[in-house]
Amino acid sequence: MASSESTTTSTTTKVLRLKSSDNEIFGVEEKAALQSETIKSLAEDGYSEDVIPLFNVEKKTLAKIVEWLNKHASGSSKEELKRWDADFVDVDKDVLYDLLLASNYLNIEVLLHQLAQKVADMIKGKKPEEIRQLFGIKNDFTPEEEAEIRRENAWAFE
Amino acid sequence: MKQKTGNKSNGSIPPLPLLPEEIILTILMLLPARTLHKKMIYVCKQWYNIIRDPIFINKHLKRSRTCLLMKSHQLESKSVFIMEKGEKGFGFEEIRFPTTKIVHPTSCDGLILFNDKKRLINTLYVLNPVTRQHVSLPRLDWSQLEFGFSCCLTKSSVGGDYKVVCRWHVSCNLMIVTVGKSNAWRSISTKTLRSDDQKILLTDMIAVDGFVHWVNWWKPLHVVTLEVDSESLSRSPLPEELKKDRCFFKTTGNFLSALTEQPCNGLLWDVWRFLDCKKGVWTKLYNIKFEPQRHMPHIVLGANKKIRLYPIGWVDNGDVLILACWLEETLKDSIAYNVKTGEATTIVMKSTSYLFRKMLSVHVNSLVNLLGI
Repeated sequence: MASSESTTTSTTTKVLRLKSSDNEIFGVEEKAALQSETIKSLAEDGYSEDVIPLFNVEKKTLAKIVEWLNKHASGSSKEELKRWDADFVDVDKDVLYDLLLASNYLNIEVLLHQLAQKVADMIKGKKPEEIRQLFGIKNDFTPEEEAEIRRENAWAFE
Repeated sequence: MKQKTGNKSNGSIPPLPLLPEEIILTILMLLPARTLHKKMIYVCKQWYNIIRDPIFINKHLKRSRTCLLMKSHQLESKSVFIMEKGEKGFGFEEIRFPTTKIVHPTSCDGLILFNDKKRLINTLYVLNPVTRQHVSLPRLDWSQLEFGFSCCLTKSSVGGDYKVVCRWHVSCNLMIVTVGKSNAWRSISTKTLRSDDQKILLTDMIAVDGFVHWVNWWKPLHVVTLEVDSESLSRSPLPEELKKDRCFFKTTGNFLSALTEQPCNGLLWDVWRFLDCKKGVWTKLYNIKFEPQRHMPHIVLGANKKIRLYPIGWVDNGDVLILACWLEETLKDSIAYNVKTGEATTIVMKSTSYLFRKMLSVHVNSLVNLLGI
């Protein structure tokens, strides 16, 4: 059920089978999968012959992650990869959020950095109130505390 | 801190669960110091605490790219300019100081040392222009002051303390103080230097991490080096290749570089690095061959007209060199040349061109906390 992606290769490319939290199994070439430090250590722990369970990633997110892993192991040129990555992170807030959590859990540093950069670009020009809305953060400063921070940041030369 | 009253629903769509702190930290690490300080600290207490954390500040500083600090030629100016690469090329940001008059500012880790001259009374300050924190330094012996002095801010490579080195113009005496830690200036003995070398101390101070260098650029023979930790002076001869008229000594922030133009050809340059200050070892880093059409497309070369290049300083952590371009007697727009890629971009100068004569220091926008040191 998981090996469809490797049928065309006659060489002995090893395929790892990754299982999402909702029990979908994805076959990924070892070279691509090992970009994830978490999968790497699970594989080293002996999971490589069976299915590697990824309890924290749902199938719709894992599908995207697998897509990224494959692309980044495909030997595409730097320019092409750059364009592809820009499209890849151009998703709505909820998907971005799931991808961030998944790439953090799977410990894929390059992807985590790309996603974090996307969020950083999104919030760079925004006001604190807009950022709170975006992330669902409550303002836990009292007006006095906020005024105090503003005072600290004023010029104070005698 | 007041307890939250909680449970107040605002009736909007349920927000996403909060991101783990490590992801928030990764995102904030990618934002410029100014954005973090002006906006992100107000978002919530968690973000405030991340941004004020010394470990975060230090990591953020290490991954930030350097820019240049400049000042206009106008003597009474209260502004310095930060020349920084943005999304649309190089731009200038003006920092207006709320002081009477500032004299020769220099920078280290985003902190700027400057002298505020108020009715003939000089006070030395160290300031972080992003956080606007500042401290004043102990008084110097002002009786010598009328003859002038120079100073620079530098960092100890072991303890990470910031130190200010000051030199009197007449006596070549050196004084040093640790920012925020010592109450008085200490004198540094220059007796280990020969009297010829003591005169080198009258040239501009070039600060790099852990060291201050002096080179008599009009006739470069030696480098005199102050090791900031041991507060000791030493001298080392320059390689023959650098004992030239057209040799420029510039700091990248990390190390002292020497840029030499090959004789009779203004477009071939060598870049050297002062590798080991103690042993006096230099190493050649790059050969640059400037191609006018490719690197300076804004300059229309007439018949027999010659381009002259003058290195101004390094940005982008020593990857990009800024050079002033002269065509015969006319100053043209400068270029930013990337030594790693061999690409160059033109810096549109407009009315700020006069700034370029007065490059002051390699700078970086940082959140370094002056009150915590």
